[in-house]
Amino acid sequence: MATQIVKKLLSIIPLVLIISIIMFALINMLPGDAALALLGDSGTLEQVEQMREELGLNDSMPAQYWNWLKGVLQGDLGDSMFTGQPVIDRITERMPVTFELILLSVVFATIIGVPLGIVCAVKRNHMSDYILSAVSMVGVAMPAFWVGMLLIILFSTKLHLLPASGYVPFFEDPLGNLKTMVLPVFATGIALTATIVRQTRSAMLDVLGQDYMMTAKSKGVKYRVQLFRHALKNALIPVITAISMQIAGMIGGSVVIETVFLLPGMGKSMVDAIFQRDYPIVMGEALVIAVFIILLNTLVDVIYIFIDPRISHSGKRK
Amino acid sequence: MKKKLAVFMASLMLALSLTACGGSSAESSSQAGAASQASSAASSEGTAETTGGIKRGGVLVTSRVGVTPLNPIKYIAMQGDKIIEGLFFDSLVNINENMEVEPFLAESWTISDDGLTIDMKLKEGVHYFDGTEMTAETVKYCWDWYLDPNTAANFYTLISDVTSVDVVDDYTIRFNFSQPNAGFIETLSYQAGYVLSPASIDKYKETGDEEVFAREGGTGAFILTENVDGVSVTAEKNPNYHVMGEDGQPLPYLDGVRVNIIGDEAVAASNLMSGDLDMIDVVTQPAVVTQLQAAEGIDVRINAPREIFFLYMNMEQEPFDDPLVRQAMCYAVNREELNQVVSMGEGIQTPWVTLPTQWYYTDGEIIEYNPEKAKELLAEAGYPDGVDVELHYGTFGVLQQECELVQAQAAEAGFNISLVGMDGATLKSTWALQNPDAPAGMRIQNNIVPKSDPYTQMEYVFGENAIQNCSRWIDPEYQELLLQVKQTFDHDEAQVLLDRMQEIGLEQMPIVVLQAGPRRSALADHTMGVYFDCDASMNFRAAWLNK
Amino acid sequence: MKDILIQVKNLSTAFREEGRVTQILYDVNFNIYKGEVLGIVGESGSGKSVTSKTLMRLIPEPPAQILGGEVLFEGDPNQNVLKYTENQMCSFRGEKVAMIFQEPMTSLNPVLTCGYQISEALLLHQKITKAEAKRRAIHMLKMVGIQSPESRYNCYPHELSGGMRQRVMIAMALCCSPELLIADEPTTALDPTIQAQILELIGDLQKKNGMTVMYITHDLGVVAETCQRAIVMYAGRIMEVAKVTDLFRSPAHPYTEGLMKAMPKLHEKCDRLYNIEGNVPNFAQMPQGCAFHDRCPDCMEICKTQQPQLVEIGEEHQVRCWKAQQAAGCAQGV
Repeated sequence: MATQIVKKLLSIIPLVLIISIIMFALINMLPGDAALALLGDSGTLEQVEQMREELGLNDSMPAQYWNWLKGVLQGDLGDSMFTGQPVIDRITERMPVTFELILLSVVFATIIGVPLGIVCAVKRNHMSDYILSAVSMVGVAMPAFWVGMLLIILFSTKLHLLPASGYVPFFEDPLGNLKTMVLPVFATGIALTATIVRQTRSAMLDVLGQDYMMTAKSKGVKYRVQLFRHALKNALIPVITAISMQIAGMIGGSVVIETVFLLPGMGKSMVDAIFQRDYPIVMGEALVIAVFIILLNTLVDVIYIFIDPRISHSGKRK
Repeated sequence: MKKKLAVFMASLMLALSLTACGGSSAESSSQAGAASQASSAASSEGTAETTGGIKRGGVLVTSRVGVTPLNPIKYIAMQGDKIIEGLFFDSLVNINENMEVEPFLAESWTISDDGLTIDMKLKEGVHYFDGTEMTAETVKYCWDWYLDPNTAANFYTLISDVTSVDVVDDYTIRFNFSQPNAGFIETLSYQAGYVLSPASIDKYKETGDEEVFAREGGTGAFILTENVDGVSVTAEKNPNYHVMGEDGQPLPYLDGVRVNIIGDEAVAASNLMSGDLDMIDVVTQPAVVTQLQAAEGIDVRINAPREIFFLYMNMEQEPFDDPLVRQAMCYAVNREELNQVVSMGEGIQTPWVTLPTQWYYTDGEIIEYNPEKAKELLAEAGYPDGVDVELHYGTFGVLQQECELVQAQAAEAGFNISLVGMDGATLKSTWALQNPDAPAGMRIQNNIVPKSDPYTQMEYVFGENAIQNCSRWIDPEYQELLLQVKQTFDHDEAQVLLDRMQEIGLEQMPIVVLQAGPRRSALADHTMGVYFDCDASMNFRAAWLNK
Repeated sequence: MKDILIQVKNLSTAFREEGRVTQILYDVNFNIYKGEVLGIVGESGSGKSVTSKTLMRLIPEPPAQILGGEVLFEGDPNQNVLKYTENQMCSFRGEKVAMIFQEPMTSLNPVLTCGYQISEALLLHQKITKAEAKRRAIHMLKMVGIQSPESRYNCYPHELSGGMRQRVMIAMALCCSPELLIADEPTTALDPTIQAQILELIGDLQKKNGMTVMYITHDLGVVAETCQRAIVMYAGRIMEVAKVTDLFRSPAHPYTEGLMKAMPKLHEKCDRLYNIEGNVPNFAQMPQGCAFHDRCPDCMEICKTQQPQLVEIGEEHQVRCWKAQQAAGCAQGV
């Protein structure tokens, strides 16, 4: 198993390399010249040229990419073209925020979603199933920013219970941190909860219809035990897959919540950097995100190995 | 002289009536009194009313719609980025609400007859954040750095006429010019007029720390304590500020200011209503404006500066290379409707890119909406069945709404407009004069406060090197006159040249002016003393919180 | 009289789906005697599986619906399995009656070890420690012929072949020494060689413990090989009940005859296999009269309109057929 994990982790290198090349190509395809964006309101052609020289924009594409890569290999992700802040500082500032948002949202959504999904599956075609399924369909349909705005209107503007915006780092003030995160986590979590409910429901239904459930019943296993010891573990496999795919999407989607709630997170930083054509920031953050997602997938694979014995330790499914 | 006085009185009346229209109470006039010494009697009445009530302390939280570089030589938008002036950097002069130059760090100045030297007397007793005093020596040090091409200050072209700066005595400096620059003093109200301490300049040269000036090198009412890139700027009061408050103690009244970067007006509005913000710097969306106007405890007011909306037309490509088509476009927009819908009736009309409150404003015909005439002109130009054009706009503020309305209006006149929206940086660099691949068609521009000196203003829109000369209009006579204006100190003489320039412009029609919209801010009722001057800076030095 | 282990009386079951109620079992009556090996034969869709599952109430109710009847344990009217509470069912299943299923590939839980699944059954019904349960489970594995049972205990189902999985199932079913083992098509999904082994295994265990076994199958070969008595079901009804020797030598019901004829025989050569004309009726559209009449080569007028009853025509030989009853001279209800 250890070799398995090491192999997976090593695969980060070629994957990230490819991703960085793609990102670099994409960014350079955007219309708009960083030099023109950064200059003030007037500039002679010479000044524009000078700015381009400074920013290294006159080198060929491969040369620019290679310069960046060289820096990365030496541990230097460069500085923001816009503010001069070292990219690594920007990342260490922003990553924890997005990370916390995603983590809490997943925990929230799982704690609520899995039990509800089980209820739906067990009470299939009863009133409670219909209601919960309808509610979760609505949940998936509601855009996160809209939910966010509604929550702000209710809890901040009208009731003054929670702050409308801002972020306090956890280690500075745990209570304040949680207060600022409640609404964003809820807004992000709702759609995820709905997805988890639906996934769990369908996975559970699928499992409950399997032959081995009847075997368990024929042994005299009590219903509750059937659900939790025999069914749930099997049902979790597709649910975990769904959650991990959602997490990947949440990193990009976090920009919306971060904008609405003014959280200084990575999603917003990335989007702002793209608008500002701040190439070093975009490349640096894309790198980090790519690595994160690959690590996440590796973690999920490891979890699979633990949960599903059919995936043997050599990684192949029998 | 008479004309100037008349214009001055007229603009004063206009300014006063505007502030009255904005529904603001005595508080708004007290700001002017606190900030500048040249303020008139009108504002001092307001001062008397509020002296007793000013409360010290508290942190004012404001929003700002975009990120601002904290390093003054690296500003992106000359006027858009002036919040740092309101906090960290005093300028040598200011432009007040009446669009006039006022002394500030520079107490007085004399211009030589040939216009090639300006002697400037500096205010005494001003200290930089790091404790050193502002003297002629330190200002010279700063200007030597500004004038060094290697510094690559973004305002370099505006001061490139200055050959050197000399020290005359402890508090007097002399600017030497290669050629006269009549608008130089006004330029000193912008970033070029900030004075930075030598020590901070040295540090910057060594470390490249973009925040060093805001932390150590400025002279403003507030000092930078924390900058979270793209998120917030936090500043605390400067205990050694050189301007006195009404209670005999130095300004500022506030303990600190915090600026939250909020790009979305709806988000800012909900933060204001929930009390997380004390004010919003700019509100433009009619929906948000209406919501805030209806909300309790919040005041939406119109500030003295105005935003001129106009359309650039790319004259290097079809169809706008044909003057008939450009003229047709002039008749194809309904300016009054634009005012009513987008500016909620609070805009005004101007024939060119100047405001009636400016000394160099020249009146002119405001063209009425005449789709028939437009169609005729198009037919004459060879487009009897109308013409397809693109209209590019930035996806911020009210530009989209304005463009959608123009699209509908111009459709009647034979212009089949397709809208192309994009973010500000893309828009700017796509349409930059220096971009040879600029698209055909039109681009809408919002000029936030025309600049107070005519050369800088016209150069900004029509200069032969101007990034923002998106119409790509370079008329030799116009350029010649523009250069002359730059060197004409006498306002009357300059006015003659400017009138001729406006004539040429209106003949050739490189742009279509739409309207001069209001600049609104929203403040909580307890937020007092925030001052918006006409070089587009938002000043907090005399601000206080009534709670 | 032999002792009755299970008495099924007038059992009628239906399925309720989307508002429609379709009857599956029509008035099923039979006894299971202690110590015997009984076979229930029929095509797919005959209701044999439903019958056996109903004995253990394994089919969820809804959609299943018991329309009427009783299943009496040991013939005791107070022990109607159909009226047991859920708790009573949980101790009934696995302990008194156990079942092994058709598909060994999917009938074991893939995320639990084989040994655990057996131990679980033991722990459910017997007050023993986990260690003791493990010991007994390993013993069971040995009994069903699995090599190195100690290491196999920790194996997951996917690590075993089909035949071995079926053995595990048998171990799981028998570990609590149930009185009745229901084997629902236990060999259908297995290779012929393995089939023989499994049948042998069940036979051995049955003889050793004196257990009652009920085979559900469509394979007459299995019936011939293992069963003492057989019940032929068709369209949710019992058509014929007989000792296996009688059934093969002199089948009374035309359906049974058809089944016999359809069996390919090793020593006979034929160009085409015989098959009974027609199809098993759709439960929603049951023909009038005898359920088999439209496929019956010996169909008579009365068959089309009147349902025959199940009547004894010989020693332990019952049949539901007008023709057969008339031939035997004991037609009822004419």
